[in-house]
This record gives sequence, C-alpha cells and structure tokens, in this order.
Amino acid sequence: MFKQLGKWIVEAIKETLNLSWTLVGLVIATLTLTGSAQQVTGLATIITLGIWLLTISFRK
Amino acid sequence: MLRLCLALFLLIPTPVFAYHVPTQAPSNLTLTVDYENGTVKADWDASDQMEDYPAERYAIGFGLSDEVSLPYGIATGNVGDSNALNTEFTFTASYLNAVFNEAHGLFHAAIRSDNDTNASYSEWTPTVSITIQNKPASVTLSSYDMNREDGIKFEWAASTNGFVSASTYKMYYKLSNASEWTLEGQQSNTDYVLAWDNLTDDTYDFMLSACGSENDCNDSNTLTVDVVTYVAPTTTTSTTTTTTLPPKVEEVYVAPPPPPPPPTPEEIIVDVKVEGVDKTYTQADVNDGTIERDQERIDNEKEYGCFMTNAQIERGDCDIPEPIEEDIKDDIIKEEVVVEEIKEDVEVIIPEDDVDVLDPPKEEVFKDEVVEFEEPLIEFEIIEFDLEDIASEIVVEIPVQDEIKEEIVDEKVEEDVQEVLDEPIQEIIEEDIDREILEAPIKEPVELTEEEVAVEVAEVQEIVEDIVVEEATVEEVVEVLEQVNDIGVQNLDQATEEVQQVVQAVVEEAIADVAELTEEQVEVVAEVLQVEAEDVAIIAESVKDDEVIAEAVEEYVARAVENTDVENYTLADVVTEISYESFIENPIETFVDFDDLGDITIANIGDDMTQDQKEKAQEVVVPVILTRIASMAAFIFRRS
Repeated sequence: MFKQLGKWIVEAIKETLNLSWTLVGLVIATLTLTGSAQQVTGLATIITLGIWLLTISFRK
Repeated sequence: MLRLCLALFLLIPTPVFAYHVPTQAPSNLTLTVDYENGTVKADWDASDQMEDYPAERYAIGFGLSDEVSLPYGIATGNVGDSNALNTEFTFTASYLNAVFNEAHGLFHAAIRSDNDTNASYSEWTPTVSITIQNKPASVTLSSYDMNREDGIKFEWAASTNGFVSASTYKMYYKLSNASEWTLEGQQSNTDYVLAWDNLTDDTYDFMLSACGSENDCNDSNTLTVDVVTYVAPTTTTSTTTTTTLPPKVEEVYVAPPPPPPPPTPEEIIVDVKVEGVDKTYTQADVNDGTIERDQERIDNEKEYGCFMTNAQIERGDCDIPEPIEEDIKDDIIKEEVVVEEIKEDVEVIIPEDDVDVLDPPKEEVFKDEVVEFEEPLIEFEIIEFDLEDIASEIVVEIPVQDEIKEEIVDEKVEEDVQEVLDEPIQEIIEEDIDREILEAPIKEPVELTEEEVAVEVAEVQEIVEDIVVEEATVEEVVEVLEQVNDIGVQNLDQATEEVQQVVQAVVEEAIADVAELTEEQVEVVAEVLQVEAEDVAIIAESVKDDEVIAEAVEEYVARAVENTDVENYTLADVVTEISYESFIENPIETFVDFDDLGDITIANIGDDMTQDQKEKAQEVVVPVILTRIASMAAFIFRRS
C-alpha cells in the first residue's frame, strides 16, 4: 500500500514536471484574470490537475 | 624665430579653427524685462552659420530661483519651422506662472544651438540672470473730475497686464513747481478722491503708483492739472432764479454747468377722459405709445373683457370667453372692476422716463409722482383733444419686452424643429452623419513636449493645491482628473509626491462616487484609468469585494508614475502586478479563494472583468492553450 502510494507520488511529481510549462501558463492566466473568471480558472486548474494525477495509471 | 612663430600660431585664434566646432553656440544673450506687458525677452546673436552643422533651432534653458539653475527648457520651434531660427524668445507672465507658479524672482536663461538632423548640439551660452520684481504694470492717469464737492476725483483702469496685478494704488501730488511729492491715497480701488483740503487754486502734478503685494511699485505718467477748487453751483427756486454766491466773490470759480439734459418730453400735458374719468398724459406718453396702448386696453376691455393691449391679447394672456349669454355677466363684472381700476389711476402722471414698460406697476408710478412734485412742474398749455385722433396721427413704435421677444423666438424655433423632423430628408442626414463618424480618423494620442508637460504639471499642481479631497465636490474631482488627462497619469512623475497623492485620492474619490457622476464625468474617470467608460462601474463594484482591485485602484497613480516608460500602462496592468505579488506572498490563498463560487454561473463568468482586463487575459490565456495543443500534437506525432 505504502509502496504503491510512494510510487504514485513519484509518478505524480513526474507528471507535474511534465506539465510545468502548462501550469506556469495557467498560473499566469489566472493571475491576469479577476473576479469570477479568476476563481473559475483557478478552481478548474486545480481540479483538472488533481484528476490528471489521479488517473495516471488509468491513462497508461 | 621659429619658436616665436609657433607661439604666435598657437596663441592667435583663427576663425578657421572655430569652424571645426560642429555647431557653434549663440552669443550675446541678453534678457529684458517689460513690466508693462509682463514679459521677459531673451535676445541673442546667431553664429555666422559657417560651421559644419549650423543651428536649425535654438534651445532655451531657463529657471526662476535665487540660485542659478536651468531646470526647464523650451525651443524656438521645430526644425524647418519659420520661427525655428528666431534669435529672440519672449516669456510671458502667464507662462512663467504656469511653470513656476509665480512670475517674479531671479530669472535665468541660457541658449544652445541645435542641429537635430545631425544630432549636433552646441555648448550652452553662459547663463544670464535678471531680476523680475513683483511689480505690476503702470496705469495711465488721465481722467479726473473737479466738479465735485468733496475733492478732485481720479479714475483709472486697473493694472492687470504686468507680471502681477496691482494690489494697491498710491496717489501722489505736488505743486508743479515743487519737487517733493506728497503721498495721500493708498487703496485698492481704481478711483480716488483727493480732498479739496489738500489743494488750492494752482497747477498741480498728480501721479499714481501701482504696487504689488511686496510693495514694488510702478509709477504712472504725471498728470498736470490747473486745479480750481469747487464752488457750489447756483441754486434756483421754483418762481425766481437766484444765484447764491460765496463770500469771496473774486476767488469763486463757477463750475462749468453740467451738460444740458436731453429735451424734456413734457412739452404738453394732455387730459383725457377715460370712461368718464380724467387721465393726464404727457408728450412722452404720446411719443412712446402709452396713449395708444391705453386706448388698446380700453378697446379690448370693451370687446373681450380684458384690460390688456393688443400684444397681450395676441399672446393669449386674455382668456377670451365664448360668446354665450352666461358669460356676459362675467364680462360685465370684469368691466366694472376695470373701470374701478381706472378710477384709482385718475391722478396718475406717467413718469417721463416711462418708455419701454407696457404695464407699469401702479405703485411705482405713484412713487414717481411724488418725486415729480418735489420740483415745480412747468405747465404748458393744456389742450383738450380726442384721444383717438392723437393715436391715429402719431406713429409710435411700440416697445416689445424682452420676455415677449424670447417667447416669439422660442415659438419660431420650435416650429422650425418640427418642420425638420417631419421632413424625410432627416434619414439621409443621419446616414451621412454615421458615415462621417465611421470615416473619422482614429484620434491619435497627442505626445506632449517636455515643456508642455511642465506647463500642464504646473496647472495640475495649481489646482491640486486648492483642493481638499475629503470636502471636494464632484465637479472639483472631475476638474482635477481632466487636468491629469491632459498630460496623462504617467507624466505625473514630474509632479511632487504630494500632488501624486492628492491625485490618487481624487481617483479613489471618483470611483467611490461613481454613481453621482454624469456620463461625461465617467468618461473622464475612465480616461484616467485607461479603461472603457462602461468599465468604471464594474471597477467601482469590484472594489467593494475584491481586495486586489481595491488595492490596484489605491496604488494606480503611484504605479503608473513608476512605470512612466511602459507604453499603454492601464489599471489592468496594476491588477496583474498586485495579483502576482499576492501570489508570491501566499500562493495557496490566491488559488483557493473561492468565497463567492455560489454566485457564479456560466453566463456571468467574466462579467465582472473590465474590457481591458479581458483583452490582457486573452493575450496570455490563448497562447497558453495554443502552446499546450501544439506540444501535445508534437508528442503524438513523435510517438506515431
């Protein structure tokens, strides 16, 4: 269990690093927005990143 | 000998070597102060234009301070302008006031020749300084009046043309053959009565000094007057003419009689019986149409029951009843009332200056009557005649009151407008206008020169100094913002920090009071923030619940000034900067600040963003998405 969790963490870090440029762009985009658009973009970024990392094994 | 020649060769300057200077500086700069016109003229000599890059225009550095400094510059013109090579420049008081907020002190100037084509500039000439005193322009003393009991009265035009306006005037006088002036009057009015006690019958010189607030004075011309002290004019009684002479007959100067009054209109007095009552008219009444109008009133009273002139009837002042029997009784009652009114007016004499009044108030006329009888009335032959005969024979121009004229004009205008609206050609005109608007060139932002910016900043400074932001009215706030718009917020870097702070406070005040602003005033605020007019309301709303935007508005002016070199720097840029700083300080909070998620719907996402903010966000978001798509495509392509 812990071994699998550790493996997933490593994979998640790898995937996040792969998404570095995209995340940078999204962060900048979020900071450029204001109000509801900023909130929605920020929330969507976090949720999508979460889903992306949780579905690593599924996508493979 | 050789060494001597070499020494001479080195010591004696030859013009040839001078021309090796690419651009020569001007020479012989002089400054001249003209207090009468409030100007400082700088005059210099041009070079002989034989150097490599001769002057194309001249730059003038100038300053106004106790120490020599030239913080400001202005040019004679742009290269190629007709006045670019002028060798003189005039600083006006208004210009100095705009730049320095005062127009007196130690003024400095220096000149430089500029050849912009080859980017070649000469050295500055040595700085020349001149003192501008706080001295108004002199006044011209020419008008006086000796025909007064209290003294000789002088009048003059106020001194306002100089560097400063006169705050006090000092009256000096002396006997013409004396040398010492005597100061008598010192006051701010533009007239002065020098009492007879100071004068005797002799020839005097008078002179007036116009003085500024620091007591720098400018003397007027000397006015020489043969003074003849005043003696009371002759008096007359009603029956006999008696001249009262003062005791010293030999010294008496009888003042020149006043100009003869215009021919009195009271040549005749006419008694007319109106409705069986005597009414008295003068020749003036005949001339100005009073009789005719009264006749009209009588006729109209008989006909319509309204004691009014034809003009009043035509204007609709009289409610003319329908010719039915029931109303006849009312008419009779009105007629009786009017007749009573006429009876009250039996003894009224219409004043001789009654020219333009259609319906003079009866009470005022009665007062005039009292005044009229203070002096014996010169009566002429009393003529009894028929009123209607007079009225028909004499052509009288009926004066029309201003109100009536305005009404007539208004009616005409309204009619014209209606006609225009009814015409089908209006559509064509509208189309033309639309096309003109579409074809109108897009207004380019005007780039100000440094000098113009300095002047505008001085104007902002001047307005800001007088304003208390907390107590400022909407108009004052907008006035400040309009002034800021003239130069652009980013150019406020040339203003003091205090001015920037006041402007910042004014911007915040404007955003807070946006509901009170008119459409035009909102546009002024929008121009300051570099956003669309409709976005001002969005900003005002966002400020209430969005800390980032609230902080952006608070810091807008300061950040705009800091980013003077950034083109098209707007409130959206400030918002992005503050968002970024906030993210650096606390990244989690920035992304997990979901307070109002419940209020957000798909339809209203982005409605609380200004148009400018949306455009700037698009510039970032769209490339991010496109880059991501491109990288994915490249990845897929590689794997296949």
